[in-house]
Amino acid sequence: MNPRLRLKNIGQISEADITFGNLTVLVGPQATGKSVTLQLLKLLVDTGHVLSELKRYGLDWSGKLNEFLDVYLGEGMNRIWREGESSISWKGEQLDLAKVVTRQKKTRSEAMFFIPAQRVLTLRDGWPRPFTDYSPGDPFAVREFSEKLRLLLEQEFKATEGLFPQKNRLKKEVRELLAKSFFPGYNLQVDRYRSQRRLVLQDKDAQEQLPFMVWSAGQREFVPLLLGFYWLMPPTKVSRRENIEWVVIEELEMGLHPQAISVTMLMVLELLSRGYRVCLSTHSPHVLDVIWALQTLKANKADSSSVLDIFESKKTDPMHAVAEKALGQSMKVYYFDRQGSVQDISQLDPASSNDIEAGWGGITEFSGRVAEVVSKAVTAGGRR
Amino acid sequence: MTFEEAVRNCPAIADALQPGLQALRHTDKSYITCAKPRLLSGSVDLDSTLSAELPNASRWDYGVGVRCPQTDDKVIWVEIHPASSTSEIKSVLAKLKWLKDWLAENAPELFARSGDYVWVASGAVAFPASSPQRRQLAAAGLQFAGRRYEIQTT
Repeated sequence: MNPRLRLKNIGQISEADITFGNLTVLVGPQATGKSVTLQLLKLLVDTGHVLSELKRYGLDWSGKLNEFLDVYLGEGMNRIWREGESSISWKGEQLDLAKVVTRQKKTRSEAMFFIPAQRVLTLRDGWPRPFTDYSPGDPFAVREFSEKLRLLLEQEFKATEGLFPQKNRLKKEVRELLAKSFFPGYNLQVDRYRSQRRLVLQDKDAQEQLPFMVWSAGQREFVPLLLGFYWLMPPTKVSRRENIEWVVIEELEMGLHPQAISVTMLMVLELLSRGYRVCLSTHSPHVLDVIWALQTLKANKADSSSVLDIFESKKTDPMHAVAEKALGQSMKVYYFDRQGSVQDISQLDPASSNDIEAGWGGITEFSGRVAEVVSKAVTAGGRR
Repeated sequence: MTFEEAVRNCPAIADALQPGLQALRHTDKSYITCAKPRLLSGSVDLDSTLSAELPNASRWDYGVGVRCPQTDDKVIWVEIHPASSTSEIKSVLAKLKWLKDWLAENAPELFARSGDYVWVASGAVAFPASSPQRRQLAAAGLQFAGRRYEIQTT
């Protein structure tokens, strides 16, 4: 059964009832509670791991929920919980959050990998910052992601090693698309500057190196995401990281050109094909284009070839397998509005009588209005 | 000039004028609505009326007259057509071209009063608002209304 999360009067959210699919997408204007929802989900899925990690790094919340929320979600976030009003239910069980964050948990294993929206901040001078490099008021999700990238680079890559492309990381077809979208003419490399290791882009011909600060905004945004995908797709016969079932990617599209977004969405389909349950938050019509297309293709019994056409991917057997699995996944889309309610708009029907669903939670509303105004102007211009 | 007068002045469709939205075929009635039908000055079914005379033409479906205070009536042209494939765009744009050419030649008074040109989808829709196909329609001056069109009256 698909897991269900219910939130009441938490932060900006007055009521949310979310049933997660294999792929779940949260949309809505800024500051409507999408990120809080995903971070609370992480807390519920990985309670023992989160508490033990915070303690391991010396963070103390004196057993108080409000102090815990400042430590876990970030400074000032204790206000999201209103005693006597806020409530949370996970997989049908009503939880007392104050008890959840004080009880000792037997299991400390981790089941969710969280890629936060602030991921670009995790690389300083081209190398991931350790957990302890952050302020105690910084969100746990950012600090933990940063630490994971640091360990990945330090434990799985040697000094002065090529990071991208790598033969045993990602599918060849995806690597080719990524090279075209993100690193044309360059390789991503681990380099040593004096005694400091750092990531650089290495010109394939001139052998010149570009340090982190001169990369394009899209490259700076994408590299932490790429490292996250590397972490999730180990170069072994095992297709998943042990115990990890969930992947959250906040604002996957940040800083990326639409072509780059589509390659990244193809990588999301690969995560699904490896059996991960994926949650995204987005402001991008391209992400919803993919969800809508997959659902429509599935409803019309289209084959994997049509899925690969969307991404202009080579039609090899491994890619067909990824596409075939994508067609079999359940997908959910939820809209967070400014009034605090959360609507299921999973059908994404462009002709729905529900304007929120037809406008994909406001994401295509502007394009629709532009089209309407332009069509009227063209008609009026024809009469003049 | 009223919509009724303009239709009467066009011999090819003069007898097809119907009050309100009564020109709509039974199967199409659910696609077009109006909250204030008394502000409609009538409707014509171009497709059925001209089918014998122009059997091979890309005929447009309906024209609806809307009363405008202190000025001539406005005509809304509505086509009810599948939108389940992007290939339908080509046929609806062909219909739009036919309509404008036909109006210019046969019904200049109606043409001069043309307000909006609207495509209502008769089923599933294959192109979202952000798609280039929707921009193609806008550039041709065609509004896409989804599966239901509510005629706005003033």
